[in-house]
Amino acid sequence: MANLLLQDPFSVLKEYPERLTQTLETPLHTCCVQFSQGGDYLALGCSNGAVIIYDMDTAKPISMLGNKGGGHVRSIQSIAWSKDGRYILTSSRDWYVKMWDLKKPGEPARQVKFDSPVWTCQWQSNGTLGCVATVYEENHAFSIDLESDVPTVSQICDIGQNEGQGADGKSVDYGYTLVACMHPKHKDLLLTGTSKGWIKIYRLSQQAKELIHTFRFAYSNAKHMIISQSGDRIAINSADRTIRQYMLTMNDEATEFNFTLEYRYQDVINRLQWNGIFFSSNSAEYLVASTHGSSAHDLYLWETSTGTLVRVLEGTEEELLDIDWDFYNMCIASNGLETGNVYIWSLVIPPKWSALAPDFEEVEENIEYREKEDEFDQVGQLEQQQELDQAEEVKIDLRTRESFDVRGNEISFDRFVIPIDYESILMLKYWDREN
Amino acid sequence: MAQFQFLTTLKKSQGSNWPCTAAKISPDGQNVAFCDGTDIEIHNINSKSTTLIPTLHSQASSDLCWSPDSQCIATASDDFTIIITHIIFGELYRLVGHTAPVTAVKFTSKGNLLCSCSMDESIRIWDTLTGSLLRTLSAHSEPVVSIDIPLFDSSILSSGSYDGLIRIFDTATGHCLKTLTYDKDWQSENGVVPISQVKFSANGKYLLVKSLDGVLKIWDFVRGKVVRTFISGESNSLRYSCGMDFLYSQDEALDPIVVSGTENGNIVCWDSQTKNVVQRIQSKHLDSPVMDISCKGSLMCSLSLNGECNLWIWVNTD
Amino acid sequence: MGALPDWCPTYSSRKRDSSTGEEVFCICKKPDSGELMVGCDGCDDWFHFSCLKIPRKYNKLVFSFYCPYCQAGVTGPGSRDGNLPKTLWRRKCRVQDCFKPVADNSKYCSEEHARGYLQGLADRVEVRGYDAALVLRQMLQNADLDAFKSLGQNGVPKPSDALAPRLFEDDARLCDLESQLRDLRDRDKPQVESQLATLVQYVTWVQAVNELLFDGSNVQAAAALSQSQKRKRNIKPKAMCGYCRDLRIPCSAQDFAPRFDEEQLSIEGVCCKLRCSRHLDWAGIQENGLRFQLETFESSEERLTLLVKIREDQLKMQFYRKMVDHGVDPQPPLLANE
Repeated sequence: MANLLLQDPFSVLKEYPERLTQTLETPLHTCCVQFSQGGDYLALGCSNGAVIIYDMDTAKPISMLGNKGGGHVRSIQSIAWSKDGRYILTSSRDWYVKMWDLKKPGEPARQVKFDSPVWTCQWQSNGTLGCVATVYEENHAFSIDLESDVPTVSQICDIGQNEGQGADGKSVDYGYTLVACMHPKHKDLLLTGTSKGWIKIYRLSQQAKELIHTFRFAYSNAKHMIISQSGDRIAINSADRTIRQYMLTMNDEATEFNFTLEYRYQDVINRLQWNGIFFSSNSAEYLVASTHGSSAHDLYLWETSTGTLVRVLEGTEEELLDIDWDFYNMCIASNGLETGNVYIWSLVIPPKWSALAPDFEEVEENIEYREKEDEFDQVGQLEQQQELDQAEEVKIDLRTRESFDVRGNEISFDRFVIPIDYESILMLKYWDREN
Repeated sequence: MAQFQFLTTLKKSQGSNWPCTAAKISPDGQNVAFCDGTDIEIHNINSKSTTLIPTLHSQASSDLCWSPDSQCIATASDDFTIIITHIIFGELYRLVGHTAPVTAVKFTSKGNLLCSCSMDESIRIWDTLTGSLLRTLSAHSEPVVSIDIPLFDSSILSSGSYDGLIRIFDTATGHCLKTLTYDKDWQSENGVVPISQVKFSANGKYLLVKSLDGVLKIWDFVRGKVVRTFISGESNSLRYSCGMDFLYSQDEALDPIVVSGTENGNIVCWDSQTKNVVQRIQSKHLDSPVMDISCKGSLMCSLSLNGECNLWIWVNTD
Repeated sequence: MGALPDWCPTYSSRKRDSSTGEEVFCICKKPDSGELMVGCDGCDDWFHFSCLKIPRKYNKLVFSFYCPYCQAGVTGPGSRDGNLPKTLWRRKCRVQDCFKPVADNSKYCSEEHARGYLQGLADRVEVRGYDAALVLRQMLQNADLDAFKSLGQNGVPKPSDALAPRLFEDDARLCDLESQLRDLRDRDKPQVESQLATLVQYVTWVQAVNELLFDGSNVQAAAALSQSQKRKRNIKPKAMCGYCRDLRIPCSAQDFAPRFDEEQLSIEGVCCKLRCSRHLDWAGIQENGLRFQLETFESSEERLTLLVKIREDQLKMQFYRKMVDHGVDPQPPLLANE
């Protein structure tokens, strides 16, 4: 973080990465990527059920979940890190949602089995360990309480209201719930997207789950739904090849909602589907998306306030699937369809030669040196000393840490460090010695 | 009024066959480790037991560092290599790459990277999980004698060298981010003083630097200005890089104390805010330079060249 | 033609000095002044050691010498038949400073050097507190040459129980590792194996029901227990899904089959949908899961056995080291700060 203070502010404050800097070649076929909070680790979910964690400082794999039993056996559909980075939730096509404690990554700490493949799972940020999962061909999402050893599952369904009844009394089929996300500011609100193009907003509390608003955005599946960190922008990627960007406004008590369509993103030329979408930080100034199709190899970046395309991130030679954006290191990771490699785009800040001495400065062009009137005056030693002494009177604080970095990201939370597995190092040494 | 009180002598001086130059308290505060020639000696503070862990170094080690989980120790030796030893399992890795004696090692706060500097004027960054070299930084034009990494921020690394420069590097790319001093002074003969130790403050915003003229300065490295100067009254040209550290007392209201060792065996403590000398310990380490000082919580451990190692505790004497 | 070394002048066949008429030798073409010379086996000329840059001390080690001209093929056998000869040397005595040639069937020039070398080796063996010669003699006395040769290949020997009572039993970590291994073998593996057996049983029942309901000739059931088979046509045979959450067989296949009704989604907890997409490949997934579990158990077993071995070796080494350092009373190994 402190390195950002010492580098050129124009480079550091760039709002999106520009160049392909790393390619992580994994032997397994990656399906989804997820950075941990803080950008220290990158978790890759693979098509055979393996989840590998890479350390972003060294770009090497450091851990694999499920070494000692209990790993997934079908492709991973989603990965979610907890805020402090200690727990990971994975959901997979093998009908399981598993929660892993990174202190002991060999076995899952909790697991829940459903009756069909699980699409997504997200953490619930209401203090206790809990998550929301969406399942294949289920009308409602599920809420899982992971506090106790045996997790409890409950369906998020408003039993008070008859969900089949629309506002005008006609029966409404909302379809299967496919995607869900929690509202970042109002921790009890859950937004779900369905297969028939509806968004349903629930209020979750200890006693009941209330359906408080429904909104139809399209007539097809919701493939992805993302919400900005500030909670006022939503983007939905649907199966009719459009990404719809809405502004969500609500009143203070969060009882009335309004979705205003801001822009629609479509590939009018090739009419391709969108594979994955992601917002930039805070109030989502930018939206990045990847396209379907063997001829599309890039990530597209739009400015959300104007809806215009500002950047195309290139460098790969294959179709890209899942996207994740690390705001702390300003890098975007995406996995390729054919090879399963993970590509990382980040900022490249060139070295400053002015850093090599205290008073060097970089100038754009030659400056004619003009001697000042007082160039060779003997400055009073006393005055210089007084200046230095004054500087030494200013109070300094050696203890308190910064809470935000230059880019506005929060850095004051304690990040969990995955413990080094010394047993595996030992075993590798022994193995080398024997052979 | 708070002062250091002598607790116990962990090791008596032994007209040494090897000079002792590094003693560190572990991050969990349970043990003190120091290098005894090529071996590592670990003293448990509570149970007072000693364990000797031999290493495969062929020459004496000059510095050691605990890993953040207090399970491994990295030793930097004159045989150009660094060995990472697990205190239970034994030797894990031998890091080979430097072309001159290694002078200092430091783990980052996450424990996955190890930085080392050497008399070959370079700094190297190693991956501790696989024991491989990640990056080499060509840093200075004289032996680099000290490096430090802030506790909660492993993005920067600071180095001090005998060429008088204090430099700050970016650990991810290896670029030099800032230089705080000059290595040539056109105005005076003795303008440039070799740097002997660098240490970051707990919040990583200030850098404490000690040079071979006995002066300690706290720098605000982002602005490049000195904010505190402490003069210990020693001669202008010292031979040894004596130890120094910050002491953060448990009481948050009290300002941190700067503790520094001198060549004649004294330990001087200043209040970092007011610059007053809070205590001058002259009772131990008689006439042997204090080579290393390590603080953790309210404990301080001091080591002198003849091998005497003492443990002190910071107490409120009211 | 070979190349002459840089310091060697070109060949001149002059054998006599033009002015004095004396016989001249070597590459320097000087008469014999009593200096140490060596005769070439190829051209019968004599050469000074110093001119050829050969150290004087090697003079006893020459076996057959060829001068630079013969080695280059300018004179001697090389010039006649083209095979360039090379100077051959005798093997020198193993003692570093001795340049005498070795005696027959020996690595040393003489018996004194042989004894002296081995004595030097024995002196350098650092065994604190023991006389090196005694140790060596002790080792050689109970000499089984093969046992001596294989010393160290079978790992560190375990100290006898008299020397190190309960060395392994008292170690917490070793006991922990061994109990994990036992649990794995006695408890976890059998559990998973029985689950697998239940699954297999249930799937056979579903297969039986499907065979009764639909054509017996169509053996492929949608819930088949096997690896995926490549299908040339996409037409799947008609088959009931058969998924039941707790794998409980409600009744025999014959009793179940008549109750089957295409309209009903599930009978007694068994999913009856045809071409059910929701529970697609449920049996494959479950079977994979259980077999994967068994595989990880196996690798865990290997890993634990290896760790046990490493720990045992470490304990033995620690014991021996303590014994050597302190004499008799070794301290307990450093405990983990867990």
